[in-house]
Amino acid sequence: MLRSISTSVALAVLLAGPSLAASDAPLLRAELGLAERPEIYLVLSPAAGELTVKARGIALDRIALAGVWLRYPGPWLGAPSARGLRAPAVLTVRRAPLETAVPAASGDPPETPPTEVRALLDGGLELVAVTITPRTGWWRRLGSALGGAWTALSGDGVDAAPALVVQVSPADLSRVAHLLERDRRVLLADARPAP
Amino acid sequence: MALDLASSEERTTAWGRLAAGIVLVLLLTAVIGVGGLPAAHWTALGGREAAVESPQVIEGGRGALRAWRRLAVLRPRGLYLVVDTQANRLRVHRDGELLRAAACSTGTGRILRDPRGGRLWVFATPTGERRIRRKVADPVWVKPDWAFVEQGEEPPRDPRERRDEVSLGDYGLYLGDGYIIHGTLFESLLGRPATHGCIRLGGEDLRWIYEEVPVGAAVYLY
Repeated sequence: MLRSISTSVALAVLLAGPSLAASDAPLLRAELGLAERPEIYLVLSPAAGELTVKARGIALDRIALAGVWLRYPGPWLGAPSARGLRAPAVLTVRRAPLETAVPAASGDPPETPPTEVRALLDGGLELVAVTITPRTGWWRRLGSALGGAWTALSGDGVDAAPALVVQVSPADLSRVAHLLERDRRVLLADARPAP
Repeated sequence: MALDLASSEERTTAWGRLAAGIVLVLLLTAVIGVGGLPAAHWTALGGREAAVESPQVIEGGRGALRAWRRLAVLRPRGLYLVVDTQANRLRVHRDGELLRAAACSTGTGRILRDPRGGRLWVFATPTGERRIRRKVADPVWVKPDWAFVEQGEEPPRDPRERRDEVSLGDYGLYLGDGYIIHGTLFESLLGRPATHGCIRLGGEDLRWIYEEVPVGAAVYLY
């Protein structure tokens, strides 16, 4: 009798599934759309501090993120033009980092390993992986304004593309570059500002 | 004389005010000018949603539950393989649990061009989901054209000249489109990219996978 009750409880829990709130639905639906295809996709979760490699809803690999930032252009003292980024959002890699990398002349490793890789996503948004914590404060903004003015004056234009910037360990940088292949889909799971 | 002094002081004060005014205008112009320059704004992400007091909200969460169940159906059952083509590692899982990990060799990404016909081959291991279509003991490799072009030879017309009974090792697990998980004569290269797109394994790992992993098992390559 006791065994039959415990079996029923276990079955009920299994059928009910996990604890879910209505707010979980958009993310699950977005992932479902990706998991239905026989493809690898990435899930970028700033809240979890992780970039997860997934297929069919299962995690194949994880890369720890030391930080995630949204970098967006705007006048130095004015209101920024693109403060928010909606999540969940499915973004496609339009230009992979390895497509822009300069091939080495020989098989030897480069003298100075790269500290940054960039991939172009939908709508001109960049995904930038860095190994050094970006300087994001007031002085940095002033510096970027003056630097931007100088590059504009020198005719190079201003690099003002909005970007998702993730910080990874130096060992993981090449993994991220490898994973961001063209047409790969990236699910941005959340994009709430850090407290 | 006193009148002259007073007017001189007034003149100095007036000049001082003018100079201060000019400096102020210049400063304001500089601030407004620099302030209007485009700059990079940064927002740190990673905030978490406020905890829901009673998360098991079936009414509100019904859509979420439905999506979760549909996702659960898609997950592979039983044994499946995961190939990390960057680290050159192959793992075997059962329902998420890691059973075995092995060094392997995957594609180099090298490009070969046929000097005669101009054909192009990219020796990369494909990514995505595949399945083990068949398993073969003592597999025979029917060498494709690129294997001859690479050696600077003309691909033979006689199919018998394409047979290679040695290179694939003891077992072959076929993934379709000519991609095979097989053995190697060059075990010292395992853990490094070395192939034309196939996945090479050491003899012991290959035997274990051949015996344990069934036909139809999913293979995830990234």
